[in-house]
This record gives sequence, C-alpha cells and structure tokens, in this order.
Amino acid sequence: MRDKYLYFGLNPAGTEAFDNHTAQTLQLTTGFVDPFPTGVDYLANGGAKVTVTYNANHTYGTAYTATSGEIDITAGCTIHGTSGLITIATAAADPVYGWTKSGTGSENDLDVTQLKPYDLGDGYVYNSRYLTGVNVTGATTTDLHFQAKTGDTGAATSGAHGLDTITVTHGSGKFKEFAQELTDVIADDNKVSGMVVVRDDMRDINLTTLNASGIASVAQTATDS
Amino acid sequence: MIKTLYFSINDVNDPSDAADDAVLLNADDFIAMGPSTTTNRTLMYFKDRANTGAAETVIQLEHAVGRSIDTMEDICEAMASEPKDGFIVICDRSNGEFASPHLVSAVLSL
Repeated sequence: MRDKYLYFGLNPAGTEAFDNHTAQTLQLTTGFVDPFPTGVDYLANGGAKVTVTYNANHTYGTAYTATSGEIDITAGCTIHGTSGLITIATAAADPVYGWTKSGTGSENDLDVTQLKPYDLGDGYVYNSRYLTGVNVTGATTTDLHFQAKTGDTGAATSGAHGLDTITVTHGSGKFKEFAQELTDVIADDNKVSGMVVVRDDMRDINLTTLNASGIASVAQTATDS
Repeated sequence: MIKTLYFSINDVNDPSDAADDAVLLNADDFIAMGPSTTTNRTLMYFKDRANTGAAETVIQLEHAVGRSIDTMEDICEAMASEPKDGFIVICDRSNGEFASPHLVSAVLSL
C-alpha cells in the first residue's frame, strides 16, 4: 500500500469587512489574519478575493455584468508588497476590471476573504504512514493521532515519540462511517494519489462529496511538535 | 520501492560541493508539511536523519507568494509518483529542477 498524504485545513478563512467605505483602497489589518499577507502577487496568485455588494451608483468595468449580489472585483485589485494596502483600479483607469466607488460611503460595502493558507498552523499535510490511531472521543468528535512532526524525540533511546492530534467534528454517532471513509482513502492505491483533503475549514471541503459521516470541522487539539 | 527526495540549495550552475549544500532523504521519513509564517514559505518535516532525540530535519521551501497549498499538492503528486530509479527531485535549485512550478529555493535544517 502506498503512502497517502492527508490534508487538514485547520484555520477558517480570514475575512475583513469594509462597510460604508469611503476610499478606493482597503487597508488590511491583523484582524484579517495575523500576520496579514505580504507580497505583491498575493492577490494575483489567488490568495484572497475582494468582493463588493452591488450598488447602481458604482461604476463597473466591462468584465462585471451582474447587477445584484456580491461582485468579485479581485482582478482589478493590487496589493502592496508589505503594508497590506489593497488598491482598486477605478473603472476609468481599467475599463475592463476596474471599479469605482460611489460618492456616498454608505453605498460601498466591500469584503476581503482569504482563499489559501499561508500562516503557520493554517493547515498540515500528514503522511498516512504515521497515522498511529483513530479513536472516538465523543458523539461528534474523533481524534486522529500522528507521529509528531518533530518525529523522533526520545527515539534514540526509548523508541518513544511525540504525537500530533487532529480532532475531526462529524455527525453524531458517525465514528464508524468516518473511519470507513478514511480507510477507504488510505487503502485505495488505484483511485487515490497525491494529496487528499480530509477536511478543509478554509475552503469548506470534506473527504467525500457525499460526506456520509457529516464532517463539519477540524482542529489540531494537541501537538508535540 | 524505496523512494528518495532530493533537495539542493545553491544557485544555478553552482554545484553542491560543501557540507549541507544538498540532501537526499528517504520518502518514508516524510511526516508532515504546512505553510510557514510568511506567504511564500512551506515547511516539510522529516524524521531526523541522524536519529537524535529532540532534533528534527526540516526543509524550508520558498515558493511564489500565496502558493503554499498549490506547492504542497504538487509535492504530494511527486512523492506519489513511482519513478523507476526511485529518485524524486523536490527542489534542485542548482539545476533549476523543481517538483512544483511555484518553487524557488530551499533552506535545509539538518
């Protein structure tokens, strides 16, 4: 049986709301994620999205055709390399992807939502080879124990090692269903290859689309790493 | 099959000719990986190559900003592959060979 690489997205997506906003720029703070993201390519590489609640007094580039709901204007945004300042091109400057705010601040409601993990502890891939046990800890919680990332503490003398514990929250009494779903992934060399998402809180992805075990969230509840 | 993972840190056309310029690790010893504290770094954790208590072997990968999850997916694909010789290049900066198009370089903590 080949190793499988199990991904646990531990942290939910960072968000920051800019309601009744009067500027054409958005200053991310540590309220988004601490530390807030750096790098001028962060938005272009899909790290986060910028959305605005549609208002008829906005001016939109030709790429945006919806006339209601949340409009994703990320394509018209750039972010400063270090300060977390997002600048939105006006529709005059970028007739395709630009957006121009309303002169009335109360008509400008924007949100920045994280799409990809970048901070330490946002998520981990664990090698299924080091899954040492799975045990039910409550009606809706199951612990997955892996050898700790630091691996060999004490190994030279005792063979003992630390543990990292991932706790999955699922439907009440659904431990067996979860254990079967997990084993099906780990044991299937024909259909499963590469990285497998067990649960990703950031992107709301579960082990299977049917999600028979009702997986709802995941957390790292203990670590020796 | 025994698979190995290759990492080198030097610049292009600069051979690995000094201690810890490069390392070959048994893929079986890969335990975990995840994003680091900045938008362009991901850490790979291995069982310690020297089997010393309280030590660890960590490879810090540098990649395009915000591409940690994409890089991890690509690395998992590479590790799941089965090359005939078992030799899998994850990050060979010296020769410009990478398991992910998002990878740029690596720092070895051995």
